[in-house]
Amino acid sequence: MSTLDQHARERPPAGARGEGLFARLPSWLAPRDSERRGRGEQRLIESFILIVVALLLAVATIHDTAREVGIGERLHADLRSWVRYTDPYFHDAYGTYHNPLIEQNATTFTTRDVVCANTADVKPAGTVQVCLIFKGPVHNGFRRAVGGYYLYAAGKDIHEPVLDRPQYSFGCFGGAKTELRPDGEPNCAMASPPKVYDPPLIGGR
Amino acid sequence: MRQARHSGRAQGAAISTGPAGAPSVAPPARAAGAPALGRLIARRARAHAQGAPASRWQIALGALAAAAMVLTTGWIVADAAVGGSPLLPYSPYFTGWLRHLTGDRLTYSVFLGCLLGFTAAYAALMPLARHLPTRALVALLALLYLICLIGPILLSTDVFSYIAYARMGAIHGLNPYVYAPANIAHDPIYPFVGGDWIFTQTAYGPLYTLLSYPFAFLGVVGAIWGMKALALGGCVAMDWLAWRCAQLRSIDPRTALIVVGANPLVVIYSLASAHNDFLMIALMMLAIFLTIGAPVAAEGSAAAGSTARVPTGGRRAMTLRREAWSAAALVVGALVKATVAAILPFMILGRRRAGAILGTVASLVVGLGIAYLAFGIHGVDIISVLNRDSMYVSTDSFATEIAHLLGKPGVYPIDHTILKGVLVAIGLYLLWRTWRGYDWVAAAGWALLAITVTSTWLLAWYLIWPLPIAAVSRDRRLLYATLAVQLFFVIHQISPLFTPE
Repeated sequence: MSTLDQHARERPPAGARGEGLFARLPSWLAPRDSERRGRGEQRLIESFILIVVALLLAVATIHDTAREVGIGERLHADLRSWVRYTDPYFHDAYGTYHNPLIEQNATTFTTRDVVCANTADVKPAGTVQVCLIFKGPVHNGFRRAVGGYYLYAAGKDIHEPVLDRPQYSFGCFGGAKTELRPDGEPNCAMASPPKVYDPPLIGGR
Repeated sequence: MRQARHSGRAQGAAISTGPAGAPSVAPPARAAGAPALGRLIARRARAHAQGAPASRWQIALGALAAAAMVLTTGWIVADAAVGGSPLLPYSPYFTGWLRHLTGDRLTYSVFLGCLLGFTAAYAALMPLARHLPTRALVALLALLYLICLIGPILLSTDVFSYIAYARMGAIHGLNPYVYAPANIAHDPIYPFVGGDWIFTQTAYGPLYTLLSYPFAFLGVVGAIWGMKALALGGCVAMDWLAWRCAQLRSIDPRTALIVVGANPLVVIYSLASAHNDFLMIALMMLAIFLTIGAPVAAEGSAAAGSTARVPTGGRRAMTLRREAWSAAALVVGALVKATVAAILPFMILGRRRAGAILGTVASLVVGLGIAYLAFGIHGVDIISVLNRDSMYVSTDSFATEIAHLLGKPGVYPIDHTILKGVLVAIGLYLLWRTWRGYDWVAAAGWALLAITVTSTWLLAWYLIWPLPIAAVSRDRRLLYATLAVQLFFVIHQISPLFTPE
């Protein structure tokens, strides 16, 4: 095929050049009503990029799924361990906890999780929860608590959850006395349990 | 062969276009030289391309897949009706009459097992659909949708937000673009609004908000049924329009119907939670239907060998009107949920006709005028709403997954900027391709898929946006890519299967 023929093939048909302004555009810039037939390189490159992106997404998905499985195991072990630590008559794996608040550090690569919950079936607002800090690997479905503290559970209704903040926590014990939270704050900022109801600093938007 | 690749039809068979635009299949040349094998290949190719009557095993496999879909959907809904599951949002109890079907609460293992079973059945049914009777496929969808309609709200609190915004405006006289559900804490809908959204003004389009106002007067449970009916209507419209668009583009409509209507993210995630995305998608598909049905040669006629007609004389006015209505449908869709506005540039560039531009401008003026009258300047400020939503991060987003893969704890603000840059680059490339003759419908589908993949806030019902377009696109890569992305999403849900409940 001659260059002239090739050029003629690349040019859109007369009706495809559009009207008015578009008709004055050079052929490489002019709009076309249908794609010209090429040798398929463009489609090949696009398909190659799509396959690479698909592989990336597949690897990321499987990696993240496996990561979430690990986090789920930790969560399960944390809850079981919390029950075992707080229930002296612990016998089975599925003991009692109420209103659990779990702060899992799933964003940085540590295994520090904090589980706060009530030992009795009460509404959390205005009660004191027991918080335990877990670190390390899962052994036989349990994890080791390195310390803990008590948390004054502020909040009034379903939309005001318990917040694990230093200003609501007191009575640190074990490693929690010296250990700092991931944001650098101490675990306990209150010297003693609160005596009066203090409206929580939540829902302030 | 290029045509065959474009239309996704049988390999080894040359496709020509009949006088009515319907493809006819000629046997491959080598069939004449090898009688037995050649005839067999030709027969298979012809049967495949024309959707021949199903063989016994195809009917059996199709029935098995359909039964699996109905069974898994029914199981999820029946268990969900019992209540008390972490997979259910806190919700008014209105499906008590279903609770005695199983008596078991919906657990992660049951839900995910059913989801995987449904997905496998869907994958099996898709290639069989072209051979199965249309009535059977419609009956399957009707049954699935009915099960979802009568069941409780699954997985998402969004429907309660819709109702809350409607009640704010219609009953309490509060502008939902200014006030948040927290301002109606005394309202009976308030306890059911998701905790993440009680301080958030509505992100939905002004026309949808106005449309939802009448539901406010039905009471909480009545409004839920109303929203369910609205979602069902949108879903059925989406399916029907996908069917019609596939017919217009000489793509097997039964396959398109099943690809769209029986998709697990459509049925289990979106319809069962009564999402308003269906309304947006139905309007989007209406726009596509009106456009590709318009008698204009620009509708990829050369690529697909269709016999689209060039408008002449009196038909020009009809084409103009049709394209104007088509653009208007898209604008209305964008005023329901803004995302669909992303495909408007592709339509305008792909058609390059005055109708689309006139329709866009006119409907924008009218739509935004109504929005301004109803909600003031906040009702028309769609950009700031989009900016706000684009900063959210969900654990299911691919951006988060890739961040974890790269050893980062999550998505940082710089990642938002990078992803926006990538999205803009993809959009510009697709616009250029559209300008140079690439099928604008496919380009629009790629754009929607790119939006979902690059979004840091990805939810299941976002992944159904490109699906109907992919089902009627001539570039079958779009369909494979959309289904692959959906499969990745489903896989990412299954981690609770491997941990004790």
